[in-house]
Amino acid sequence: MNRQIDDNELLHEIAPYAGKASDVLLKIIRQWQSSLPALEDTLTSNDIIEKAKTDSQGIHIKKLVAMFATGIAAIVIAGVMLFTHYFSGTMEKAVCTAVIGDVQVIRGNQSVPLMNGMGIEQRDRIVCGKGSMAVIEIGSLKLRIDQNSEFAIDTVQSKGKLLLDTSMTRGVIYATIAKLKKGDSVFVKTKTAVASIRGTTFMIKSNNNITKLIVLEGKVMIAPRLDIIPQESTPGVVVDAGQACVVDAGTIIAIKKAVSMNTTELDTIIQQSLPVTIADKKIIQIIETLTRDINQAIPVNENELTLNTLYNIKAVVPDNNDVLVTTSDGLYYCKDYKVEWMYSLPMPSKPFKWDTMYILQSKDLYAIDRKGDVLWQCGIEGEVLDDGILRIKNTIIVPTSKGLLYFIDKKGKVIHRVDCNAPFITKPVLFNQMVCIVTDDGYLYAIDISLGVSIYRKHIGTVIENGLIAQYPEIYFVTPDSIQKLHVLKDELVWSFNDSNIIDTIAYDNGIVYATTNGLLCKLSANGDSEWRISPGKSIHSLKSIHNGITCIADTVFYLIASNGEVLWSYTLPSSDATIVAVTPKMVFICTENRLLTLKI
Amino acid sequence: MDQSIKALSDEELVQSVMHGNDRAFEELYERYSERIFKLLYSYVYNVDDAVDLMHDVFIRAYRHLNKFDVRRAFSAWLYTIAINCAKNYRCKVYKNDTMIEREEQRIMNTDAMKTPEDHVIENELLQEFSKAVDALNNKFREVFLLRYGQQLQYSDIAHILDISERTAKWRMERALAFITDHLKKKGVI
Repeated sequence: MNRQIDDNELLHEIAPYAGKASDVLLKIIRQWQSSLPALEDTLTSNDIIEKAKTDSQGIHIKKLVAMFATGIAAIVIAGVMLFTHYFSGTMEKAVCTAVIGDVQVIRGNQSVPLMNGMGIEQRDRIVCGKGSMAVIEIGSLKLRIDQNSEFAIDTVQSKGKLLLDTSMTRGVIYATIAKLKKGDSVFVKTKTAVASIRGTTFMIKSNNNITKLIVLEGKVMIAPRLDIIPQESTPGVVVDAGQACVVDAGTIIAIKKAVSMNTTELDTIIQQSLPVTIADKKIIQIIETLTRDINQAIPVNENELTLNTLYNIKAVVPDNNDVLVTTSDGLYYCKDYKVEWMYSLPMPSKPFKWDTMYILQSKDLYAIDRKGDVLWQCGIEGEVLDDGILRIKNTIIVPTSKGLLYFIDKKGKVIHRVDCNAPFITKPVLFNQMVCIVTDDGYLYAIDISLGVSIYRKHIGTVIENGLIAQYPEIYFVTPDSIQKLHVLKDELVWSFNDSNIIDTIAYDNGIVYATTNGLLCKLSANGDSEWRISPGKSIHSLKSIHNGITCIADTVFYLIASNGEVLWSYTLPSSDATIVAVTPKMVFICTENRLLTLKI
Repeated sequence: MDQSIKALSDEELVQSVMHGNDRAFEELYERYSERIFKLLYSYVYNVDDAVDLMHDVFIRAYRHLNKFDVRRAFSAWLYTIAINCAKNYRCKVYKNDTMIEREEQRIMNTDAMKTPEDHVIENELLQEFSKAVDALNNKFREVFLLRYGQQLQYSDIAHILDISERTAKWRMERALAFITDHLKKKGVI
């Protein structure tokens, strides 16, 4: 993982900031690197192991008494299970480890809801409805069945060797499996293909007419399903890591035709008919995220909002008494802290609430209603900036990482597309009939909303991330060491206020509130006069303005501050990584790693 | 130590440890203890505390090795544990202690071979640089320390911090802009 960064690489990185002083800065960085002390006088690895074991024992001793009683019960249960296992033969255990929404298990003529921890039996069929998903574990195979999918376990046996035959009639599965032993076999059959798995991570998407296989790691052999010859003897093509292969009904017809003409070997026909291509990078990234998360069950505190045990919470959007939560795998709509529906949408951006719609990106831009139905989908270039979408009447303005602003109407139609030629450093702000935004190269743009063209451009230099605040006809722009007020129509600087180390700002009460790296929170009036200054503590972040004050987190403490600078109340959070993800008039939603806290205002 | 162990990848060593081979853990400890110590030191500016935290990181790693997914990079997992430990430490200590003062003191005490003039100039430069690094916002500082302190690629940093590579690069740019600005204001560069 480590590789010494050479001087050229380092200079290339620091030159845009240090300019002519790059050589001096390079020297300082190298001195700083070599000045870090060397490790001396430390425990040996054996000491570490001993300590780890001793500490564990300490914890374990407390549990021993309870475990003793549990142990006896476990022995009895294990005995019964061994007995059952011995006489039932060889069934490998298949267990559901996560389930969301409406997932049914069809067992014989009966249909029962799939529950977390429930065993799956041979010949069970799992049907995931709209807005639902399930994770099944069979030995080292971890399998995620997405919404609108049907998946069946036809055979699952383990007589020293794993024999697993599965089939899917429609939908999407993501799977990861450790390297198999010699003699083990794992097959996934679809309507048009058979995939033979040998220790890999992959995705299969299929319906009646088409099967798409994408391999993230390892190899998968895929063969077309031909009813003219026995399935086991059908030759296939090998799909390696980073590759994809599609088997559709047209391919099968072509193969059958070629076989009937008997001009070429079947093997050759198949090799020629099933092209293996390089998989789309974005899809590979998505599979990587989803399968990685399958393997990392994340416990969520029982006293707080429990969404699922698989994915980190990324964003929260309150909607009256409900809440929409996004994780790396999709959206979860919760009523009364229970998931009402989920929608699989890999790596969604933070949703923007637009009346009864949510706008978010997962490769394309989506509009989804409160029932989880996609209203429209629209292709855009680049990634949408977090919290960057701006609404103006019946239009939203969407800034992307490519320096593009998309003006989109309620039906998903792109009205204007404005290219600002550099990535954005601020979010767009409304400025009368214009939208203002600053690019990474230090230019302030004003774009006419109705025409979608830039009508003003001025170089204002480096601006911090939230450093653009509009109060027509003036604009505040914030650099790391000053706040400046510009009268845009007159193109003149009204005032400038210097303070070093400004890290965040918000518009508040006809003025501006800013935070500094040395732990100060200060209010400036519209005239640039300092109104108040308090010191909540280091690492102030997550500044938000609410109707009756300001919220912020400094270190691990949440503060609610009145308009006169008085701290109304504070609350100590469990972690310094806490971020305010949403504020409503009654509630503050705070995300700390895997947990979501709600504080009443 | 056995040469065959030295030839194993981190992830193979983890599997070996899980099968009861403590010598494999010794190899992992040898590979990473210095790097983890330096990373932790950049957070706490105190050798003793950094050593204690480093021990804690490896104790945690050993105890939770069964939760490690061998298909992922062990180093990323270990760095993630170390960063979490360091952040917890800073949360506890920052309010009552001026960690940067410790660093100033340490810089003053190093490099006894240089002339007094060299000392004064270099110490000033390093102190200002350390102050700038310490004043960075948490998110920017951790990217900076992983990139320049640990010499990691952006793809690895993104993996460790669970952010996109683009975000990692962006944070690094902000960190560099802040540091150079600070040093320019102080007349260091």
